[in-house]
Amino acid sequence: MSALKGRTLGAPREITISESKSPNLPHQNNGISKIKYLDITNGSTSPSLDDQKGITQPETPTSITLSRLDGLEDKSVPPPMSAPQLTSGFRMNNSRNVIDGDDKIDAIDVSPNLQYVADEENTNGSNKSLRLENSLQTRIECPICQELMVSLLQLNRHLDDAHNLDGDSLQISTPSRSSSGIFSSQLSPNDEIRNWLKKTNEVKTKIQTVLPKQFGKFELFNDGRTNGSTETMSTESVPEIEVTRKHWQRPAGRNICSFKGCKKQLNLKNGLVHCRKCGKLNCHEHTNFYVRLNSDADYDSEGTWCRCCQDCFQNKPGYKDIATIRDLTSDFLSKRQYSNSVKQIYENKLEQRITNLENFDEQLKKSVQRNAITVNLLKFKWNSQRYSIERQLVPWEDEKEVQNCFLCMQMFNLILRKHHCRLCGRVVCSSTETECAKDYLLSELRSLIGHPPKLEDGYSILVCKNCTSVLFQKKFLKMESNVPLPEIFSKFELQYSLKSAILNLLPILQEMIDSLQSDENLDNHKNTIKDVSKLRKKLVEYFSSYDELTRQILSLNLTTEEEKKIQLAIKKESLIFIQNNMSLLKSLPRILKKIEERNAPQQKPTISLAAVHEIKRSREELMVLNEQKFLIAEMIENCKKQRKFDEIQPLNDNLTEINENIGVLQEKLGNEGF
Amino acid sequence: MSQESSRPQPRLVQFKLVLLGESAVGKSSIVHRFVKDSFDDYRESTIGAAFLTQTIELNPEITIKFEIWDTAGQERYKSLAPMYYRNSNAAVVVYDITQESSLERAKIWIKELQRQASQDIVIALVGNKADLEEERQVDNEHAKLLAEEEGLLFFEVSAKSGDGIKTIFQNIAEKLPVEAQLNKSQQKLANKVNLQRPSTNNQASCCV
Repeated sequence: MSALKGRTLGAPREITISESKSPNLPHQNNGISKIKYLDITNGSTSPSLDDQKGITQPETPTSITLSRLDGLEDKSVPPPMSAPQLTSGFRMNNSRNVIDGDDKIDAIDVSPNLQYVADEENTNGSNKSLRLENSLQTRIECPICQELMVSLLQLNRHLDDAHNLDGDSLQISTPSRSSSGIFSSQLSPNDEIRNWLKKTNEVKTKIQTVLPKQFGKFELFNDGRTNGSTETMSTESVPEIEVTRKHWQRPAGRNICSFKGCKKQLNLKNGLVHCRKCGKLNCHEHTNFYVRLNSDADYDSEGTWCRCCQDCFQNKPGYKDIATIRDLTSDFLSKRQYSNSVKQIYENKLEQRITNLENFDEQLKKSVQRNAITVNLLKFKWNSQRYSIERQLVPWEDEKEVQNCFLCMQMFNLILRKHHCRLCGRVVCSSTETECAKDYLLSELRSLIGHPPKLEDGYSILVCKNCTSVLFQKKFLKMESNVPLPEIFSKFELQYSLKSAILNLLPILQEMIDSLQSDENLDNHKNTIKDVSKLRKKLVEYFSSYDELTRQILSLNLTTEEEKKIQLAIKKESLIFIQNNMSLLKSLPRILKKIEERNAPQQKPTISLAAVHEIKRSREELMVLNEQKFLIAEMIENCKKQRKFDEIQPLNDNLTEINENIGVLQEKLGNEGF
Repeated sequence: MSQESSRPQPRLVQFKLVLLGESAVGKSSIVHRFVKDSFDDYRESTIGAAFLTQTIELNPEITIKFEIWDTAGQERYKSLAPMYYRNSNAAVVVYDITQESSLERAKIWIKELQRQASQDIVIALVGNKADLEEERQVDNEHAKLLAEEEGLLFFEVSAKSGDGIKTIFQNIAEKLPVEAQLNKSQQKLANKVNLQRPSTNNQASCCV
C-alpha cells in the first residue's frame, strides 16, 4: 500500500476512472484470464486484448490498458461461478459502452479526452468513479483496496505485493455473466479469489495435457497426469477422429507377435497390442510406432496419431522416399529469361539515351555555330544548355534523399560530392578510389553501342560504373567471340561435334539391328544389312577420327595447370565415351552372325558381307598353309634323304612358323573352319 | 692335310632371300639357273614356296650362303609371301619384260616390301626374259629409272640363256651387311657343335 495517493501526473486532465460493466454482452465468453501484462498503448487497446476478444475501442484515441492475462486462454473452461465479481475493467473513458462485460481482462483505459464525466447510466452508486479536478491527472485505483495508484505499473506491483497474489494466481477478472457490472470490491475477499484460482489452476494443468492430445493423441500424454476434471476438457475439445476397430484381430488362446521373425508370446509382459492400421496383434516392441490414420484406419496426413506396427509404419506413404527430385530447369530458364530481358531493356534504354544525347549535342553545336559569340560566352551557354538537356533526357534521382553512393555505399560529405550518372540518373560519388563514376567521351560510348565512330570530339559525360559495365559487357562479349580459341578448345569442339554425330547415329544403328532381329522378311534384311554395314563403316570412321583428335589433344604441350586439368578431363571423358559407345559396334559382327545363322538356309547365297569374304579368304589361306606345310615336310624328308642337313634347319623354322599361322587361322575361323 | 689346314677357313654367312613377282615371270627359272644352272622350257608353276640353297664366294675369306625361298606367283599363294619376306635379308622382285602388267605387280611388291619387310632388306628389281628382245614391252630405261628412284638394284637377265643371273646374286651379296650377319651367326654358333665342318681327313688316304 505504498501507493502515492492523489498524486497528480503530468498535464492537467480530467479523467474519470470508472468501473464499468458492459450492458451488452456480445460473446458469452467464459474464459478466464488473469492480469499479467501491463500494456500501455497509444491509440488502441493492447494487442493481447484485441487478439482475444476482438474488442477495440475506436472512440478512445488513447487508452491505457491494464491487463493481466494468462498466456493460455481456453474457451472451454467453464466460468467459475464462485469467482469474485470483480470489475471487468477500470475505465477512464467517456465512451458509453466501454469494455465488454465478458471481458476477462481488466483494463484501464485512460482516454486523453478532457472534460468528461463518467456515464451516469453506467456508473451507479457502487461505482467508484472518480472525477479528478486536474484533467491531465490520472488516478488509478486498486480494485481490491481502492488505493490510488500513480501508474499502472505501480498497480501491478501493488497487486502482487499487497494482495499477496503473484502473477500466476492473481485473478481480477470478472466473468461477464455477472451482468450487474458493478465494481464490487466488497464482494471479492481474497479467500474467494484464492478458491477460484485453485480451480483455474487445475484447469490450467489440464490445458497443458489437453494440448498435445489435440495435436497427437499420444496415449502417453494421458497417463497419470490427468485427473477427473479431464472429462470436462476432453468433451469440449475438438472432436477427435474415432479410428475404426472393426479390423482388429481377435486374440486367440496363444498369440504370437505378428512381426516377421519376432515370434514372441503375447502376454502382459510382452504386450498384446493391436496395430491400429492393420489390426494385427503385436508385442510392445513392434508397436512402438505412430502413424496418422483416418476413421477408416487408412493413412491420412490429417488423421489422428495411432499406434501401429513396424510394417505399417514403414509402409506409410513417403517413408521410403529417400529424396525427391524436383526439376527446376524450367524455373531457372524462365527466371533467366526474365532477368535477361530486364537487362536487355536496360541496355536498350542506355543506348537510346546515348543516341539522344548525341543528337542534342549535334543540335547544340549547330545552334552555337550559328551564333558566333565569343568563345567564353559560348562555352558558358553551351554548358548550361547541356546541363538542362541532360536533365531533360534522363530523369535524375532526387539527390536530397540520397545519403550514400549506391555503388560504394560511402556517405556523401563535403569532399565526397553527389553526382548524377548521365545515363541512369542515379546519384553516385565520383571518388577516384572507387571509380564509381567516370567521364566518358560521347564518341567512346558511341563506339560501345556499335555505332560508327565519328571523328569530331563530342563532349564527355559522367557515367556510373553500373552503366559502363553494362555497356562494356557487350563489347567484351563481341571481342571475346572474335578471338580464336586455343588449340585445345578448338580441337575439343571438333571432338565434341564428332561425339554428337556419333550419338545421333548410334540409335539409328541400334534401330536397324533391332529391326533385323525382329523382322522376318528376308528381302528387307538384305537392304538393312547393307545399310547397317554402311553405317558401321561411317561410325568406325567417326570413332577413329574422334580417337585421333583425342590423341592430338593429349599430345598438345600445355603450359597452364588449368589446361592440363582440362586435358586430363578430356582424356577421361573420351575413354569413357569410347568404352560406352563402342560396345555396340564391337558386338555388331556377332549380332550379324547370329542373324545369319538364323537365316542360314535361305540366306547363305545372298549374304555378301565383309565377314563372309573374310571367312572365305581365311579358309583359302588356311588351305594354302596346309599345302605349304605338306610341301615343307616333304622337303625336309628329301633333305634328310639327300643328307642336306644344313637345309633342314631353315625348313624346320619355316615349318614351325607355318604351324603357328595355321593355329592362329584356325582359332580365328572357329566353326567356320574345316 | 697340312695344305688344307694352312688355308684360312672361309667364313660362311647365311642370308635369307626371297623371290617375288607375278606368276610366270620366271622366278623359279632364275633360281634354277642360279642353283642348278639348268633351264626347263616347260616348268610347272610353283606350288606354295620352294626352298633352295646356293653358296657363292664373295671373297676368299667370306662365303655367302643364300637360303632362297622361291614363292609362287599365283594370287592364291599371295598370303604366303609375308611369311617369307618378313625375315628376309634380300628380295628379288622379278618382272617379265614382255609383260607390261608384270612390272605393275612388281611395283606393288616393292611397295609392300618397303612397308612390311625389315628395314635393311636389299631389294633387287629384275627384268627377266631379256632374250625375247623382240617382244619387249617394258623399256629398260624406264625400269632402271624406277629402280633408281626407289633405291633398288636393277638387272635385266635371261634365265634361259643364263645371262646376268650370277650377277644378280653377286651384287646382292656385295650389298648385304656381311659383317653384322657374321657376328650374329657366330654368336649363334658359339654354343653349337659344327657338324658342317669340312673333314679333316685326307680324301686320298681314305680306305673306304
